[in-house]
Amino acid sequence: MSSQTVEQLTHICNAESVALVGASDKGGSFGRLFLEGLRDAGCRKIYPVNPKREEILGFTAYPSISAVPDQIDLAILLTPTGVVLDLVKECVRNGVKGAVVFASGFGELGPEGKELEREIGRVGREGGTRVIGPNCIGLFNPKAGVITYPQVLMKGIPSEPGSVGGFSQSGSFVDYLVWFLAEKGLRFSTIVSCGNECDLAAEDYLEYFGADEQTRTIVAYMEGVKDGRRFFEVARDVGRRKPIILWKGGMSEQGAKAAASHTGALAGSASIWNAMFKQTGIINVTSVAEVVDCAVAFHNLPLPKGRRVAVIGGQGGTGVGTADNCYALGLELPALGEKTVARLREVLPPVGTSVGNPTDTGVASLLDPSLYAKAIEIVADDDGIDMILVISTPVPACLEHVAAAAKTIDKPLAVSVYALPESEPEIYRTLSEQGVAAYPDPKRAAYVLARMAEYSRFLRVHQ
Amino acid sequence: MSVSSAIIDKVRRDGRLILTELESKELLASLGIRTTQMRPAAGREEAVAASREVGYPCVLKVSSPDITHKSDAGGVKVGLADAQQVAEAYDAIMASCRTQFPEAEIQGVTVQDMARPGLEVIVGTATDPQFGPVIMFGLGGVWVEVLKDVSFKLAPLTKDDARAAIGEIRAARLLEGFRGSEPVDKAALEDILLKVSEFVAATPEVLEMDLNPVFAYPDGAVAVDARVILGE
Repeated sequence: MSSQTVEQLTHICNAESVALVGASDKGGSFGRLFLEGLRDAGCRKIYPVNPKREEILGFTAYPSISAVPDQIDLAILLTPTGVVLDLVKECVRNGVKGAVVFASGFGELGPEGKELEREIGRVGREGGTRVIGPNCIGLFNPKAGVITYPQVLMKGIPSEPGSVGGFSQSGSFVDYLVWFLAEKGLRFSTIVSCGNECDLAAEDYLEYFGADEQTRTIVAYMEGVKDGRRFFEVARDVGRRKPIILWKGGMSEQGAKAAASHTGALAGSASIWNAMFKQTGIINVTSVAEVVDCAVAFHNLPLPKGRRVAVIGGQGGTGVGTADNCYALGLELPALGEKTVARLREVLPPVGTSVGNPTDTGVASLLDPSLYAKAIEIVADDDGIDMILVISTPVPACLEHVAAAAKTIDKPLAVSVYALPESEPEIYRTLSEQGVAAYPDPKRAAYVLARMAEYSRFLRVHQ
Repeated sequence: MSVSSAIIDKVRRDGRLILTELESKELLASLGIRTTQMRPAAGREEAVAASREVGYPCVLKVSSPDITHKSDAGGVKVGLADAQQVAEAYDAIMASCRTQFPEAEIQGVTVQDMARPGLEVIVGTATDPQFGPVIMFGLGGVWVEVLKDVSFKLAPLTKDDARAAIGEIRAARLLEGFRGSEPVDKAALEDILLKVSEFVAATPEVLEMDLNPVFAYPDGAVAVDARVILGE
């Protein structure tokens, strides 16, 4: 069962007809950038609105929203702040389902702007035109051909649809997030920039992504919440069905509060957010690298059944240091089963290797890269192991074997490659394209496995 | 009208925001939470009579809306073994409190049974501006101030949440029994957490609550002190 908000957002995110108010063909203007963007993204029906023009870039232009002879699903308002309220009223009169308000200069400037913003939100919500923004860059849905991000438009991003959904309360961060994740081989259902949330807010987008069948993994950046109770209730439901990877800003405590009870004094905002993460299964992270690392792992890998990891390192593998990282993150490195040990001894040469947890495939794996694949497959067969962390040399033949083995096993595998992304970008691109969760540091590989084990445990407890 | 809303109404009509210990415990008892037995007594003779009902050893605590830190004011006497000791304790409490708080309105004392020693924990609630009522569990008594070993959950709690709240504190192993002591009754603590959670989720008038300490035993748990604070 889906709420009215979900139905409305489904309509908006998959808009077929888009009116662009403030469209222009003037070089370097947002009006032109958005129009070209919509055209190139394959938006089905584009209606530029500009009272001074009859035609823009080959599209028939209309003097107003009311003059467009079609049902409009989404209106993108590129106009100055002062006329937004009237335009939203016009959207309501014409049955427009949603409006993206690009303009800034509302609530962030003071009480008057806040009041105007509230009024825009109220008019839209009550009239059935749900408002995204203001002070936002709107949404991106490659499947529907809807794209309103200026920076992404400039840079160019993959147009094929995918199943990562996301939202961000920082406008530009959605751009970067899309770039970074696209670079890691991920593709998107819908990504939304929340802006000032005069109507639709983070909790609404979260509910939508929870219900959206195309979305499997949710990523988000937030700084505050409009309706905390509703966010909690929505997250409690969605978190049990899809991973929500959230970077929440503003988690530093401002010191102890004055309160009449011990509980009141200790109930700081960070402890409450952290409590909510635990209760909802939200995977809370605290950096861009962690958002991206987790998104890649959660999206590409099956969840581990427990927290028992096997570490397999090649030559120079730093298996022991990695084992420390794993323990510190709450993972276990149990001894391998007898059968596993015997099978590994059969395939690994006796000299320069060691069998155990960690296992070292030694220099031998440089001469025979297939040893990586063999070791991975043998260890994956061990019932006492839930996931595998491989530390690989950057030799392409070795990585090919790791990638091939990762596909044949049914347990999550994260690989740490001894190569810096800035000097060897091709290595990571190739692995990403194959859906391999690859990181330039064993600690980062251990981190994502630990977060997956934690989420898997949450799901088991809350079934 | 339920017992708890009648108590809250009365406190509001009195123009107060903080429930007395007696009111707080009556409220908890109405929720089905075990508290120490408590009798109000306005004078020495009443205190002695009340102590005979409660039984020995017993505890006397000053009863005053103006004195919140009762021990610091010399307003608490514990381990009173007979009527004679109760009478002397009454006089000592009055003398100390009247000296230290000459302006305070003192209604008398409460006579309470002495709970047998248990592991001291705290169950509390607060109201978060964004998320509403939250529940806290932790090591109680004086430890809460020193160690701050507590965990939070947003209300309403599920049974899993209640169990997790207890398991998440750093000292969780203390509850499992240590150095030969028996494990405490975690089901009884979970039950308190769930009852408190249900109450505050349905009672927006309550701003904060401290059940501190709650004595946790191998068989059950009892709230030894409690304070309920209403919102403006």
